[in-house]
Amino acid sequence: MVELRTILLAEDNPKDVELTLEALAEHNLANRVIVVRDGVETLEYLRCEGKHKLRKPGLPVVLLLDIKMPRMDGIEVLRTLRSDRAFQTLPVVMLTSSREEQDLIKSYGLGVNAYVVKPVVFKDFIEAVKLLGMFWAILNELPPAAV
Amino acid sequence: MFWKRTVTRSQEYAESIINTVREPLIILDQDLRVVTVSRSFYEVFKVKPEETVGQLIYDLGNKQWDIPKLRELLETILPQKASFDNYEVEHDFATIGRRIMLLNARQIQRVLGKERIILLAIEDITERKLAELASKQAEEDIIKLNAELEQRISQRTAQLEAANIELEAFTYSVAHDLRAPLRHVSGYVELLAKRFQSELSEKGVHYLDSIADSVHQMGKLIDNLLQFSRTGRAQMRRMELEMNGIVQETVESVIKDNPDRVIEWIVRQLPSVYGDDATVRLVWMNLLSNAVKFTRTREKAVIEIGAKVETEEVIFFVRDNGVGFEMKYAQKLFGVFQRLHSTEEFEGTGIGLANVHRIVMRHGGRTWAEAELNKGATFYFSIPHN
Repeated sequence: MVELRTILLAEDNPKDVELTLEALAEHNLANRVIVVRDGVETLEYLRCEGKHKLRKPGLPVVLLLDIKMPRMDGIEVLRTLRSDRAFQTLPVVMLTSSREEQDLIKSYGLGVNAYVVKPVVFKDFIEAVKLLGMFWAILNELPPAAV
Repeated sequence: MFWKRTVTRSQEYAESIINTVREPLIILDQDLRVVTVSRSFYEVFKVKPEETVGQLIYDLGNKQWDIPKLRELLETILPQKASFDNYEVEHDFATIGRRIMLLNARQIQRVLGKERIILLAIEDITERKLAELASKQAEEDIIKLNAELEQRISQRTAQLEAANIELEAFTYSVAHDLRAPLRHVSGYVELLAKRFQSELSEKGVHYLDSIADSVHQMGKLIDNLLQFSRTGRAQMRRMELEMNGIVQETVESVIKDNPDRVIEWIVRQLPSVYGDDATVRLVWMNLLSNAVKFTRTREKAVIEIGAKVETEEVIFFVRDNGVGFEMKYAQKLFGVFQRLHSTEEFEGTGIGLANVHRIVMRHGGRTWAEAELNKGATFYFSIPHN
């Protein structure tokens, strides 16, 4: 039995959260998801600060990161993570509404691991989330520093 | 007796010449006193013979000919050079106002006797000078006006470009922001259909199917709008394009997408053009897949691709034997989301030709079409030389 570790989902829209969790639930991956609602909370979770001060330490297998979020957007989160030695190798996947050229360039420039556009049609969305969940939670080997 | 007659004759001869010349002419003796003047001199300078002949030139008409420049010419230059040509003198005359004159003078040794005489021709060039000045002013005005116009044009162009960029950004963000709620609708409809299927009547299931279908359609429209917006913003990298190669590859790709169709392809020799590879490929892709789509009802589709080199541009065309359209709708063809057929008849969102138009426009070319209902259509686009 492969031990499933946490997936961190940074997403401000509650409907997107619900639908993403539904999609992950179809493949029994939902119970491992931690949801944070913006960039600031994402960093607080990862650094065990603020309201996540008392959480069990450890890093998620992947951070699914929305770009458009209040307070601090996904690009800014990515920039902060990559300039912090503790999170330099943390797998980050942009999970965003559309394929904006500038966002793509910035994300890859900052060292994102993948960039996924959420499909409009739910069946396709479920498929995409399933592939993502399976790949990062089960198939992918994590960098030694993150284990 | 004889010589006197000769002298009189030659004097008459000389005076008749003097009086024939249109320009005022003065003859002075070596002391600069007036020997005689031409008729036109009296007319132009409004002086009478009795106050002229025998007078010192400087004293003429209340000393109005006492002009320093004239003194210099007559007293300094003439004795040395025996003649001067085209000296311009500007002077304020009491009788006729400010004038600009062109002076020509000759110092002549009289045939008999030792004294010299001076021939002084005076041309009034005031009008000509004013005209020259006016035309020079007009020329300067035109140059200034042109510069102003050019500046205004470049200002307007900059404003237009800025407005265009803003519009593109707006289109993009609208399309982008529409995607999220649409995704939610799709998600919840799907969940409803799946989780509550047993509680739904046949009609209820049908309603959900219809919602899902519309969501799907709207998703396609939004994606096309996003793509269209991207075409407008994409950086163009122009280079020499080998059109036959591009068309060949596009034809192959279209054939792959339509394996069951019988299509006769006629591809003529196409000239190379200067353009952006990625977007020009998109033009061919749109036109060729359109040709294939709208010949679907034909047992055998015939699609011809050709070109014609004109002085300013190369005109390419794609001709098919498909369903065509009525020419009165031709101008609607290249607009965004404009369609001449129902979605049931022929699927599509109406973005393809809008993309073609936009790309060709960005290359500085034109797009148009000719067709007849049920007899096929020909789509044209042009790319300017370089």
